[in-house]
Amino acid sequence: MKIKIEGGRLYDLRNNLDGEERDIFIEDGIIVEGFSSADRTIDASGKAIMAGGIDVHSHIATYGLNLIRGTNRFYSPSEIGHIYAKMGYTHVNEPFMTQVTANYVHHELSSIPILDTSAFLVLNLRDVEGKIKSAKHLEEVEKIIPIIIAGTKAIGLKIYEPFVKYAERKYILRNVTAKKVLSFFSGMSRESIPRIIMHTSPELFGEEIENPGGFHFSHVGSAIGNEEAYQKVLSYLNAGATIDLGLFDLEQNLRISNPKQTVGEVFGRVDMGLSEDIVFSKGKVSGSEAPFFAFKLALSQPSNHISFSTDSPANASFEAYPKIFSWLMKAENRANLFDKELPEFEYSLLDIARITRHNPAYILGLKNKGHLGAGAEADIAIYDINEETKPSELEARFKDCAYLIKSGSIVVEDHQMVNDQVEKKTYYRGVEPLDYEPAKIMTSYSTFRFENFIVDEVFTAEEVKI
Amino acid sequence: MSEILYESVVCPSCGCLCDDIDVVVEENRVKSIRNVCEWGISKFLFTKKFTPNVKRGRVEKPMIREKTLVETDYEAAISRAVDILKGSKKPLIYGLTNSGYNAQKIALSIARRLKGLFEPRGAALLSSYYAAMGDSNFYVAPLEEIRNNADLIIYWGCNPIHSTPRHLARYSVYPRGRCKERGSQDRVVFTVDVAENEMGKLSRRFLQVERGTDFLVMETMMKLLREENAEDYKGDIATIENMVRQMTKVSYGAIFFGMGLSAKDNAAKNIENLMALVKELNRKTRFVILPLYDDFNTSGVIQLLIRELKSPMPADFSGDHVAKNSKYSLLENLHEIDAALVVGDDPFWSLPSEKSDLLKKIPMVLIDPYWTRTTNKAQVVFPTAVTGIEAEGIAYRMDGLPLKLKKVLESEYPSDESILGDIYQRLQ
Ligand code: SF4
Repeated sequence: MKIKIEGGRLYDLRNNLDGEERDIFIEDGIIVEGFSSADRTIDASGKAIMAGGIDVHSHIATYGLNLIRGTNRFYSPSEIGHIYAKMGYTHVNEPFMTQVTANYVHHELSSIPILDTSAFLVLNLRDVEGKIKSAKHLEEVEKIIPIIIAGTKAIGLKIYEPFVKYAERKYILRNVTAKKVLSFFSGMSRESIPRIIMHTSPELFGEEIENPGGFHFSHVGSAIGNEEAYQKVLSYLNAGATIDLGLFDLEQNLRISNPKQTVGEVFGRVDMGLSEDIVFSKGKVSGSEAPFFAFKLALSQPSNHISFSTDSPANASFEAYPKIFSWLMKAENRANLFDKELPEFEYSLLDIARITRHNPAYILGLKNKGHLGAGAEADIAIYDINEETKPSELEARFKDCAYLIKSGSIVVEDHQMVNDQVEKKTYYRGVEPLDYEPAKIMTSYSTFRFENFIVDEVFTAEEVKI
Repeated sequence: MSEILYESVVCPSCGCLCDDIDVVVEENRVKSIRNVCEWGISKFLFTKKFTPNVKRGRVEKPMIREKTLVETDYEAAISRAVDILKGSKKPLIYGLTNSGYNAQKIALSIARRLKGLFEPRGAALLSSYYAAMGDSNFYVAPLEEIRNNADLIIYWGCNPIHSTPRHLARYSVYPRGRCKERGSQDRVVFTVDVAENEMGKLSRRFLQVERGTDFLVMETMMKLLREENAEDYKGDIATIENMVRQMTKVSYGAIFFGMGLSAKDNAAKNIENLMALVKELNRKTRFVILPLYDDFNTSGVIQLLIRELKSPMPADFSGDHVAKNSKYSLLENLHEIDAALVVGDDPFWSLPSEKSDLLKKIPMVLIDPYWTRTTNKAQVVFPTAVTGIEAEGIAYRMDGLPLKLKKVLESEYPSDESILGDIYQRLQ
């Protein structure tokens, strides 16, 4: 179907569009330069148009979450798809997939309607503990990791615990310090792994990182509880690192964390093969300066290196994004959040598009997403927002987009969900040529044969290799 | 005729879903098979469980009941099945724990469309487990980590040697793990069951309990953990004391429980206490708990129910609301049901007779590769390919991790997934 969107104002950093009025032409699921006759025309005059939102970090398919869902404390896949779509989002990246849970995570993601998905592979450093103590094995590890990423259909590498620590004393020689791990991965070539994703914690910011420019730091807001850590993040950004914010909504939220970072009521724990269990808890963050510094950071330095996130559901559930956008955009909306003064900076619509579209697409390596130029995937969100929109109305407008087009199909029309059975894809990072042999050491203690680690198409949506 | 080697096939027999099975096929027959246990061999050879030389009778043609069951063609069987289901006010969709995930998914859609009931086999125990999880905490681990770390394994109300034969060898007792490099020498096994069985010989401690009274043992253990007086317990208190002492000393315990805990309708009580015990143990050391599923895809249907309905409980679609989940088995209300669709199960063998007798009174559609005690009670019978051998599929291991099931043999029969799909289509 050929769709023409007329009269809307476009917000797209890559194509230098800051509210310019342009028509958009969609053919076969792709944005094209133009055509003479459309099958369908959408009148978007007086409305803001952005590419579909891309969430770089949201736990929607983490192993264990189903047990929370099973006691009715988390969204169903169908609710996830619908809520995100209504907010104008078309792609969500799951940040916690291990080699062991890869089939699980992809199968769960593929059950979510509408949204394209991807996932970060959390490498269990115990599988390579003998190889990361010195740069001697760097080349070998550089070879193995892209294979494991390709095999698990992941889009990037994530390090959750930047150390190896065994509880039992007799394994003390197997331990690897954070210093060594960070130094090893700092030295990794950007060709094999474009950017390593770091789970951030206050402890991580206590370490020195030689080459922060090679890393992306996840939900930094969770880990900057003081000025010193805040300054450190700024210096990492200056050195070329990228981050996602990890902003808060200061409500009771479900947290997926290590045992030290739980809040409120604990629901249960899952052993994911790390040095500590992953614990599910729910409560309100209190007595921490982290939320304040997270917003201070967001309002200090908007740049192409900063993406939006809340570590959903931990610091804020994804459902709260519209509220947080309204806080970023208008100082009056956030006036009562903290006792201390936040910077006065107010996000423009282009800034919002930048942290929720352009930058996440860059971090995930999705070249045809996050913008509205010819050749891009036709994932398009149209919001009822313009100069006349009152600050108090912003949240509601971001929550309920006027139109959402996903891969060229209309999902939301005039604020109504009209079709949730649209094409959806699984994006992953491939490697050429793909020879699994060197990576087989990764299963030496496994209950799975290597062949069964390789994620089969039955678990994914339509696969797109980047 | 040339041989074909299929490597790393997943065995579709029990919840272990062993993924290291190498199968050689010649002329569409399994010629040799490596790594599999005896139960698995029987499955691949279509023979009786643990008796690889006694063939199981397969249903060969679709059948419908006239006076007796008579063979018919597929279309006629589908029509009759659809008539029965459409004519029903409250049908029951039952079984499904030996089907692939996608077949389970269609079966759930059928229940939804017909405003019927959906209940997987063994739901009473599992419902109790998840209900207890909501009240208490959950402590789970993939089998991977149990194998890497556990130094105490407890089998409670189950006999893995019968129900999941390679469980001990692959996941719990014998394998070498990352932190248990000497395998079984680094681990201790306890078994709690109603009668001493093979597991007794393997276990450091065997505790015999009176049927259906496990909850009392758990209560006693909790008292001992809290250093309270436990003298009112009438059974083998010395063994219990011994076990508790050891349980607090280990660094990582894993408890596997099974259907034994649903005896005498005490599933809820037993599981509640077991989960509370695990919570108590976790104050002192690290313990995880997992159900031991003897059917190969019980875990899949649980995942499906949670995904679709946010609850693993049996689903009742008959009310005004989309789905009302019941905490306990819906089979308690079997008299309300006026038709049944049974997939891959033999309720006349697995259910107590007071329940299965009620099924005799209503028309039943049965999808099963084999003749069972249920076949002769059905109005419509579909033969089907065996999932994981003659048809592909997805199954979830007992720890909730999915694996792809392969097809290694050609079959003249449709898969249960496609039969269910055809029925669903005709209900539109
Ligand atoms: S233990 Fe279960 S899955 Fe493994 S081979 Fe035996 S029957 Fe098959």
